[in-house]
Amino acid sequence: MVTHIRENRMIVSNLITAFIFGYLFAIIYILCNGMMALITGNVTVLITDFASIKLATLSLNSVRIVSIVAGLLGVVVSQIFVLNALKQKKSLKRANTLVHFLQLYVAIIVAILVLILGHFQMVALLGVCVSILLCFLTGCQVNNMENKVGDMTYLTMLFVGNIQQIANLLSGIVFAKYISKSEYDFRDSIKKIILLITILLLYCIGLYLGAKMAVIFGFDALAVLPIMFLIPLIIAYRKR
Amino acid sequence: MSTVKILAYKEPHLCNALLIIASGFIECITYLLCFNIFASFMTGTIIVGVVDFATRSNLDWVTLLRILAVVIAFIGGFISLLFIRYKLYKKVRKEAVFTQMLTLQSILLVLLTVIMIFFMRFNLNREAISSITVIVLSFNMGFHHHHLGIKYKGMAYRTHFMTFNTWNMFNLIVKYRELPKAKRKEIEGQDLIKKARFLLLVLLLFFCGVFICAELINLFSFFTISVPTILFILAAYLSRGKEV
Repeated sequence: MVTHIRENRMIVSNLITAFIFGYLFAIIYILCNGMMALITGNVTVLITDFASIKLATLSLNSVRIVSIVAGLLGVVVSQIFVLNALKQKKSLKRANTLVHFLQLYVAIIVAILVLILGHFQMVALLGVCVSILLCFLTGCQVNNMENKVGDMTYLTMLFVGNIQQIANLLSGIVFAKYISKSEYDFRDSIKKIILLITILLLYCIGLYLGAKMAVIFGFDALAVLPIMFLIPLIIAYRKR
Repeated sequence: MSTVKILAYKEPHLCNALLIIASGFIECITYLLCFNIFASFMTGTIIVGVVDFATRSNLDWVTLLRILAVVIAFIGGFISLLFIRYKLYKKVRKEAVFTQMLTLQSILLVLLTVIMIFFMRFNLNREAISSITVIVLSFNMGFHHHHLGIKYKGMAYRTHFMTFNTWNMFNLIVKYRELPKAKRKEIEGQDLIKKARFLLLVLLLFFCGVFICAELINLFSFFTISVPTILFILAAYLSRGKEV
């Protein structure tokens, strides 16, 4: 019973994290001149810009390079952090709560940076700062992927992975019901599909809201991040 | 004594390397020529789509296409998965299904090239071409995700998830660094470093594809798509089974 409640808490905290990431990604994309928050997008854009010799975007490209390097650094740091937590015989759930704490600290730093630098119009520098911190967060989120429902990971960061998981589950249901007519755990699959769709919807709502907020408030929209990250932390946190 | 014929997967690494480069090409073509749509980076496409939808008052064709791309990708993936499931149910070997899928994709890419020539010839707009491209690629994507358990040391070729590959690579490196120095030279440590090197190779091949394609697009524009088509045909040829 207790395990069940804990698992539900983790599900809810991860769903909220999906929303926050959507919100964050939209703001970064709008305010940092089309910079992608994920490594793949940034590298693809960087390489194509470099190859097609768009010199006008040179300064933006240098910002991208810094953000990619910072992102990779963030991934390494966060992974060392979680591995250390696990090494100290802390449970996976405890490590997960620690990651939530870390996300909150980073969000507070982002908010302070925004409030200080935002008024000096240092968009590029701010873009780098936010990207560094954001990628740091994404690195932490990877470790959150250890949170599972059954065998399924919460791929909040990888939208494409979620879509394919839904396609996989749905094709399994259709195949079992109409082609092979074999026994299949429909209830479990439907539960997983609903959860994945909820993640995607929350992510899209986050994107939509983030875009609206970025247009209205600019970089100040990032100032609400600490409050946002506090919510999943409160939900995931449990007293010993 | 009867001879047992086993059909083995021919040149798996070369075949997958070609597919990774082709993925880089396809990603670059859609990004540069199809309204900045990321072919395999669906997360990026949805970010751009939803942000455009939220910030613009009118819903134009491109924004709609970006959002629809995700739906089309889902349908493409669903159909390809049903196809794979059906083939496996009919006891067709994994390797043979793999070849069939590659052949199908090659045919679709050839068809796309033909349609594109037709459109260019009559000066029609490219929007329809780009949408077809996305459909074809999503089909490809759905297939890639469940690429029939063709793996390297328990690790799937996640050609389409570059961010995921990067994370995995760094995860392996961190794990390697965490090992005691004596253990690093043992099988456990060496295996970690081998996997990390492999992922680095996958990343480099993908970005090689992106880079070469970006250069070629300056010269050949949409006709650059013939390169990934050739790569797909070559991969389909190499993936044929051989008797051992």
